[in-house]
Amino acid sequence: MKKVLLVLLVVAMLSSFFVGCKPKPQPVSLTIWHSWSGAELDVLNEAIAEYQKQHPEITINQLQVPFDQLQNKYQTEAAAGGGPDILVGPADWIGNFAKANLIAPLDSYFDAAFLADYVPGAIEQVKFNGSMMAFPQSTECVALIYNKSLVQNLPKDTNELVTLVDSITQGDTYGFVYNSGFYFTAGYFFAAGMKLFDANSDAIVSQGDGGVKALTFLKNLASDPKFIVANDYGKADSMFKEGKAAMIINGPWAVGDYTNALGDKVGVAPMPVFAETGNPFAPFVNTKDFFVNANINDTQKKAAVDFIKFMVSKDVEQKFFEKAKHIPSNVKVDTSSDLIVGGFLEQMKTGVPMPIIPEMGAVWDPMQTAIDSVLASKAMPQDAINTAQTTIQDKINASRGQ
Amino acid sequence: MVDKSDISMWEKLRRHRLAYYYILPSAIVMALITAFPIFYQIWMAFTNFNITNLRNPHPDFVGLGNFIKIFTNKVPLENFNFWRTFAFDIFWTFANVFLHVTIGISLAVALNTPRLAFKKIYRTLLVIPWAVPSYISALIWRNMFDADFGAVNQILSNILNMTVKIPWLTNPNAPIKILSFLSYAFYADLITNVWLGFPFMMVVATGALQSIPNEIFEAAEIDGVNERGKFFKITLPLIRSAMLPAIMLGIVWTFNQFNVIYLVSGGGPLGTTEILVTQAYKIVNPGGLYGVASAFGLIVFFILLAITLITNRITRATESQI
Repeated sequence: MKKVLLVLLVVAMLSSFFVGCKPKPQPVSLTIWHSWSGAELDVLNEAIAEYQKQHPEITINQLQVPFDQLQNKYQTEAAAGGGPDILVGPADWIGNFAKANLIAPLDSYFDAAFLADYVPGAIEQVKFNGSMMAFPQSTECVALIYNKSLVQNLPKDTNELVTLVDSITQGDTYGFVYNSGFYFTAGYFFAAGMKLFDANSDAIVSQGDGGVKALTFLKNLASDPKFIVANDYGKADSMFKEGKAAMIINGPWAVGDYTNALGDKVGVAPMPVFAETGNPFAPFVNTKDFFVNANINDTQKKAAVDFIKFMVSKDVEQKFFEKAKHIPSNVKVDTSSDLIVGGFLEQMKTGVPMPIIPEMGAVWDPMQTAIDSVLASKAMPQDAINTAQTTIQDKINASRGQ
Repeated sequence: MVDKSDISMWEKLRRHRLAYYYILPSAIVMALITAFPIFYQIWMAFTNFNITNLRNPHPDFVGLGNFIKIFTNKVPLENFNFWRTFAFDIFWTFANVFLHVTIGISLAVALNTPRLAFKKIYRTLLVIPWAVPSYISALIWRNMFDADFGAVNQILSNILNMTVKIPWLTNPNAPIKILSFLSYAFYADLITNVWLGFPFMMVVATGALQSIPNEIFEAAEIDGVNERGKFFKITLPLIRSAMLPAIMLGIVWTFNQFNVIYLVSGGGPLGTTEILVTQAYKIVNPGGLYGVASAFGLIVFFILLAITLITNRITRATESQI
């Protein structure tokens, strides 16, 4: 009897906790992973503060992850059922993520009226097997970024580039700190005639002599002591900010920081034409997108999409454009009269769209190895590109489970 | 006979039931966090488990396919060469442990000089590398090895009074032609790990030195033994029993020295400084080949098991001698 009383008492006490609970906006907490830094991170933080002011029930936690680790970190955590609600990354991640079912399709959240405000090419790029798997925030490609006080006349082709750089380099000031990362230098591979995939998405990088021509070109640059050719983003970045590099290859995301450091001395123009074939530099044109985690429930998804809609609204994209030089996906953002963005838009005309198929993930490291081994005189261009071809195709086969 | 022992086993369990109840919670936790992953990994090693299977764990059984791929260097990953990595790992281990021990013992002997001024300060300073978390030291060394802006090249430039631009971390070629499989980055890793590793050996050697009674040295002096003789005939044999276990430990640590390799050279350039554990990591991340990585992990386990058995035998042999 005593026991029964005790139980009743406990139940009564516990139920008293729930007195006064009535429906009110459920607090929602969203996590966003990104690799924005500098001016872009400032704009993100501003935008989050603004959004939280409008929606007091929502808390947004942002986590900055270095770009070279972000994809793997998300892939590992999301595949294990976790991960952030929102991820910011380039469109070429879509294929792998969608195949492993790590990102949620977003078709049902955006209607045609909403989409009408966005660059059609950008919306097209984030479609995988007909579904919209991400929402584009900005478009990007790499171009020539130069310091106007060191470079007066822009080189037309790569021969002129070499002559110009040889005349600029002096002491610890370099004419060109050339980033030999494949993403940055891919434009010359395509200008030389290299192709990545055939119609079946199998690798064909060693077909023709495009790869060999481009690798030979890079090797010639590297053997010129007036150039720094290194797969070192940080070095090119800091040397340009310090005014020690007259020219670098980089994308719009970095220009906000450069104008903070160098003011109006920063110029952007298309890279010089590849002299050997006469073709223009053809960089990857990509979008930077918001992804929504496939693991989260519908309420979280709705909240995440609502935040994304805010992030791609005209006002926020305008801020990203003004402070961080992001090239907006929203056509309502006023970008006229900006020479820097003009330079990137000019370069984009000769660019190639970044493939978003899962096979693209197999390309990066083998191509980088080809470049690095040629620059280090460990392999001849032809052997290097053949090895790359084999490794890429092996990786593709492995990912297809063959 | 068998039945009897079975019954007695059951009897034992029954009699000490309470004791087993006590360890039950930790046994369950151990089974979940230690035993289960191990068996899961062994299963994965025989499948083509990849990134898509994390959600849908029904990969295909491939038998010994993963092991064959590893031993024939057919893993779809750039710069993968199991045998080169294995040979490099062994060379790396012995080069390091040799330097750790020689530097450690030399410093310990030097600091063991009676009535040396500021002895404690020296000892403290020399132990600092050990006191700093190794990944922090590794990151600092990595920056110091930068070809253009790193402290190492700048100090060398000042000392030699000329521009020194040693491509420590970027050049996959060998600076010493005879040792053609050792890139510049190997020496960068080696310097870092020697800096990190000698204090441990020094501390162990100091402890062992202080346990040698002074009378032995006095007797040797009376017999007219010179300093060199004292070191090789008395000091070394007497600290051997203390040094050997430390050396065995050093071998296992260095063989798996992930921090230094991964953070200083990253296994690069072009995979020239990859050791087995960093290679295993890369097979998963960025490789995404979980099945192959599991097989690789098993191989590393058996290599370490062999090393441990050998070292155990050596250690026991020395123990019985003394």
